[in-house]
Amino acid sequence: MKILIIEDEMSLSNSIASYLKAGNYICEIADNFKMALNKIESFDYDCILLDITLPDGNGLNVLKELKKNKRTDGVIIVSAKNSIDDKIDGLNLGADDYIAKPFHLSELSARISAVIRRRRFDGSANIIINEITIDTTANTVYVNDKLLDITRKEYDLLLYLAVNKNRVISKSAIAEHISGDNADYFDNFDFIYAHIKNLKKKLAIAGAEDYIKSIYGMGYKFEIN
Amino acid sequence: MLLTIPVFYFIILFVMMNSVDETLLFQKQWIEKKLKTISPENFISYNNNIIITSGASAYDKERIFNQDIYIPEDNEIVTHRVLEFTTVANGKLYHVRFQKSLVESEDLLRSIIAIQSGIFIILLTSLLYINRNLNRKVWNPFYKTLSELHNYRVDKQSSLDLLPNKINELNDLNKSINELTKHNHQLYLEQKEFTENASHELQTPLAIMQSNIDLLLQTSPITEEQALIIENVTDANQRMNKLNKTLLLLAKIDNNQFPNKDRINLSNIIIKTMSFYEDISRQKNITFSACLDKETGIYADTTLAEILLGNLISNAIRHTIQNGLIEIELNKNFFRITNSASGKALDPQKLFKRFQKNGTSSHSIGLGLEISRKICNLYGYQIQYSFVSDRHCFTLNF
Repeated sequence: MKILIIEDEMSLSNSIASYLKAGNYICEIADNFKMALNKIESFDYDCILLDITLPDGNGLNVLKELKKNKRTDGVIIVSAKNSIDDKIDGLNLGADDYIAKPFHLSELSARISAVIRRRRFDGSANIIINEITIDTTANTVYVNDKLLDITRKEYDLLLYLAVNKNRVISKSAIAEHISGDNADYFDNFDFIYAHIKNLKKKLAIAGAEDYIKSIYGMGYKFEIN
Repeated sequence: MLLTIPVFYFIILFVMMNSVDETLLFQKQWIEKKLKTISPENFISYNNNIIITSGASAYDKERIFNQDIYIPEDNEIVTHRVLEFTTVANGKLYHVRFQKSLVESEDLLRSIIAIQSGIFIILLTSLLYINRNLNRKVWNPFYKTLSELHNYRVDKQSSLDLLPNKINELNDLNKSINELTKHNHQLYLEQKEFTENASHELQTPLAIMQSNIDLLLQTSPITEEQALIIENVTDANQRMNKLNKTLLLLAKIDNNQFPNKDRINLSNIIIKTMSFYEDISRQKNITFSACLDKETGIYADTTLAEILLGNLISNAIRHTIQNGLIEIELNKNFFRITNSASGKALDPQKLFKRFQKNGTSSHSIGLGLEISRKICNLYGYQIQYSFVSDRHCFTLNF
C-alpha cells in the first residue's frame, strides 16, 4: 500500500516512513507544496498524510486539488495547530481524519489502517491474523470462526495491537488510545495491564496463540513470526 | 487678606490724625496771628474751646496728644486731639490749649472699616464660590479621565481613546494615557501571541521527539536498562506534551477562540467523563453517588464544557483516598462535586492560580483549576471551593 507523506520536517517524515515500512507500507515523502502537487498528479496513493503548514503553501490546497480531480485517495490531516477550525475546515473539504502533533507513530499507523479499510469498496474490512479475525465494521472478533466475547476496550486494544503488529507500542500510546484524548489517566498504567491480562486470558481460552508480548514493562507487541 | 483690615485701619488712622494735626497747627498760626492784634484776655473763640491762660512760667514746647474729655451735653466721653503751646503776646508768656473732637473722624473710620469689611466678606465669598465652580469645571475632565482609567482593563479594551479637551494640561495627560494604554495593550497582545506561537512551534519538535522515541522502541535488541531509560524519556515527553497542550488551551481561551455556543446536556457529559475513569475508579475502589438532573443544559462550547467538568471530576478522582467517596450533584442552578480528602483544606487564595500543585503528585501540572476558572469567567459562572467534614467540595453556580 502506498502512502504519501507531505511534511516539511524531514526528521519527522523520515521517522514516520521508517515506522510505516515495518507495516508493509511503501512511503514517499514530499517536503514542500510544489513537490506534493507533482506527486499527487503523477501517482495514486492509498493514503496521504497532509501537513497543513508548508513553507510554500497551505496544505489544504493540496486537498482541494485532490477533490477537484475527484480523487479517492484517503487523506489524514496532520497539523501542529491543534485548532478546531483547521479540523473542521479539513474534514469539510473531504479529509478522512485529523491528527494533531505530537502523536504516537502507532496511533498514526492505526488511523492510516482505518482510513484504508474504510476506503476499500470490496467490503473486506476484516483483519485476519492466522486464527484471529477482526471484523472492523461490526466491531467483533472471531477466533477459529467462533465469536469472542470481549469488552469494547479489549476490542480497541486488540485492534490497536494488531494493526501495529510486530512493533512495540508504548504504554502511554495505548493509554492515550483507549482512554481518549482528553482523559487524564494520572500516569498510572495499571489499568492497561489489567486489560491486557483479561484479553490474553480470553484469547487463550478461545484457543488462540499467545501473540501479545510484554516488552520489559515499557510496552506491548503483537508478535507474529 | 485678613491682614489688610488692621493695616488699612492704621493707615486711615494715621492719615486722619495727620489731617487733624494739620488743622490744629493751622489754627495755632491763626491764633498767634490774632494774638498780635487782640489781647489774650479779650480773645473769644467759638465754643470757648481755645483756652488761653497767662502766667506760664516757662516756654513749653508745643505738644499734640489725645485726651478723653467728658462732654456733658452728650453724656459721653469723646477722644479729643489736644494742642498745647506757649506763645508771647504783649511781652507776656501765655499758655494756649485748644482741642478738636475726634468723634467725626472716629465715625468716619468706623464706617470705612465697616465698608471695607463688607467688601472683604463679599469678595471672600464670591472668591470661594468662583473658585469652587472653577474647580468643578476644571477638574471635571480630570475626574472623567480618572474614572475611565479606573475601569480600564488591558485585556478588554485596546486603548482608552480619551477625548481632547480645552485644558492643555489635561489634554496632555489624556494624550499620555491614550499612548500608555495603547502601548500596554500592544504588549499584552504580543505576550498573548507569544504564548500561542511558542506552543505551536513546540508541537513540531515534540512530534519529532515522540516519533523518534516510538522508533527507538522498535530497535533490537533493547536491554532492560535501555527500556527503563526509554520509559523515563517517554514519561517526560508525555508531560511536556500535556503541559504544552494545556498552555495552548489557556492561550486560546484568553484569545476568545471558542465563540461557539451550543446547548449542552451536562448530565451526558458527566456520565461520559465518568466512563473514561472507570478503570482508575475501580482501582481506587471509589464509590460514586450521583444525583443528576437529566434536563440541565448550558449554552457553551462543547469542548470547553467537557474540559471544565472533566477537570473537576478528574481532580476529585485524583485526590480521593483509596476506598473514598465521590458525590456529584447536578441541578439547573449548580453542579457540585465532593470527594473524601486525604489532607487538610486547600488554600482558596492559591487554588485557582497557575502552577499551584497540591501534594506530591509530580504528574499533575497544576493548570487544571486555572483552566476551569478561565472557562467559568468566560461564561460568567461562579466556581467555589469549600472544605466540610474532611471533604473537598467544588461548586459551580450557573
